[in-house]
Amino acid sequence: MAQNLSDFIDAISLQLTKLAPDLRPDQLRHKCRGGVVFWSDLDLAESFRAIGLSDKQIAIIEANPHLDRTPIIQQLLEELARTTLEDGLTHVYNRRYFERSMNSELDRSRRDQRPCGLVLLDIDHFKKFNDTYGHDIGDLVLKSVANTINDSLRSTDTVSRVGGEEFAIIVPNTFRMDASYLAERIRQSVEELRVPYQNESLQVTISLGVAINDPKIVTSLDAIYKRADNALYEAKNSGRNCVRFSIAESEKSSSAVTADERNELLG
Amino acid sequence: MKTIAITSGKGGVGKTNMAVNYGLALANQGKRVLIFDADLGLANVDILFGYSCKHTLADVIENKLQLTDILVDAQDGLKILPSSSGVLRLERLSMSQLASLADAMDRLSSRFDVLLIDTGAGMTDSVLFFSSVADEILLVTTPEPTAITDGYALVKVLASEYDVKSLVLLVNEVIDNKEAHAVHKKLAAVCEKHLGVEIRFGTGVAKDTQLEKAVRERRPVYISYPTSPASQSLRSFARIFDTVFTKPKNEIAQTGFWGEVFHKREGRKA
Repeated sequence: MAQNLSDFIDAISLQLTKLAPDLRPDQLRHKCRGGVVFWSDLDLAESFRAIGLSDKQIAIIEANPHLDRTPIIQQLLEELARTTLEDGLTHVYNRRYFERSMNSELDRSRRDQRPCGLVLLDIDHFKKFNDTYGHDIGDLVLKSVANTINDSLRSTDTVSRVGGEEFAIIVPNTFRMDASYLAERIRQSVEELRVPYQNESLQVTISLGVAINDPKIVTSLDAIYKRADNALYEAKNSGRNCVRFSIAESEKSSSAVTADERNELLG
Repeated sequence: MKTIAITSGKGGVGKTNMAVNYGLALANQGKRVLIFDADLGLANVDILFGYSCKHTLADVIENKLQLTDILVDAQDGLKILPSSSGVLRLERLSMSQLASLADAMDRLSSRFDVLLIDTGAGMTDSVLFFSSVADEILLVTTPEPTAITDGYALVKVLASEYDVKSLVLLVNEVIDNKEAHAVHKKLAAVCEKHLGVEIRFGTGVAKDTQLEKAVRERRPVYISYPTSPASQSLRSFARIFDTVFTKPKNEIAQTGFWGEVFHKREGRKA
């Protein structure tokens, strides 16, 4: 569908470029929303065909000039916007969204001087599900885990699927303990989850790594990702199905007693 | 009700002993005292009293018992809320469990003047957490260098992560009062200079063989040896409770201590 939609957009874009050469592609959505583009100017049949509508369906639309085409197109465009930022299988955000959003949250964290956290998680022994029960069950596991995570989040948190069986949760404006608490709550929810398979119900567990930035210093997406990933690796090595936390070097030094302080205390 | 978190950077500085005996001294002054044993690593307040608590907070959280059912009468005016290790891993409690616990605790609060929270030692989440939600923090240290530097490290985290600006110091196991004041002076100066945190002098408590004896006998020193140096120091300290713990109550007063606990746990859910 995503493919078809992008064909549709391409088809419309092409026509728009002809009609309004100064229109940039990113303005397209706004134009359509604002109703600036008159549908009658476009050969919609061609675009509809591009997204896979049958000739018969197109004929029905064509035969009803009073049928408002705006909602149809709007719906399609919204879906397009969603699909470019959404993971097709699990319907949580995709990696592209994650990277964009994490970067802006890190900026915001610096500006507001409030810490921002990242939780990376990975389904334990995921390969086993695919190998033992088939890819349909593997997909079902991914979808179920994504839903479970989504249900456990606060309204400001977002989850993205950033790899095959790996998810990233951005937890803005969150201190260390709250992020750990959230991660532990998600771990529990997933542990309680049962994925139906024939007469069985399968149990899924996840390992989680948590990292929080220090708003006093600039933290890159790569840096915080790496730290969360290291913590996740530690969780895997600690027997899986658990949460591990990464302490930033800067945090360590801020809580550790410096040599000066020690000398003054004991001198 | 005034809530005091009794905490230390390092274990083994006599924190639980201070909580129990200070609680007894306060009760002796006519205060209604509740000691909350939140030392999750050890949960040993009951051991110091020679009880083994049959029921703990776990039974309340699992809805088997009411909070009032598990309170232990230690002395006139002193009750203990026993925990058991592991129960209070806050992150393991569900929202509804916390909510009902918070409600139950707040209903209790009208029956007590002082809540002493024995937080356990070190920089674990629960130590930091209970310290940050209490009205006041009583930091326990000894003159030992590692106890002082660990205590300082704890203050540093409390200051930088939890915005703690002032706390009260108890120096345990001192030779004399002079030593207690010397420890306070140094710690207070470094905390003021580097952290902007005010350390108020609470009391020194003498190194006391009778206290050690009482521990072995599983009886609080304040009961067994009321005239021992440690008991006397704590008695004096209890007399000045109202002048030492004067930090104005913050917004906790409105929500109640456990309301605050719950609020913090729930995070900033919009």
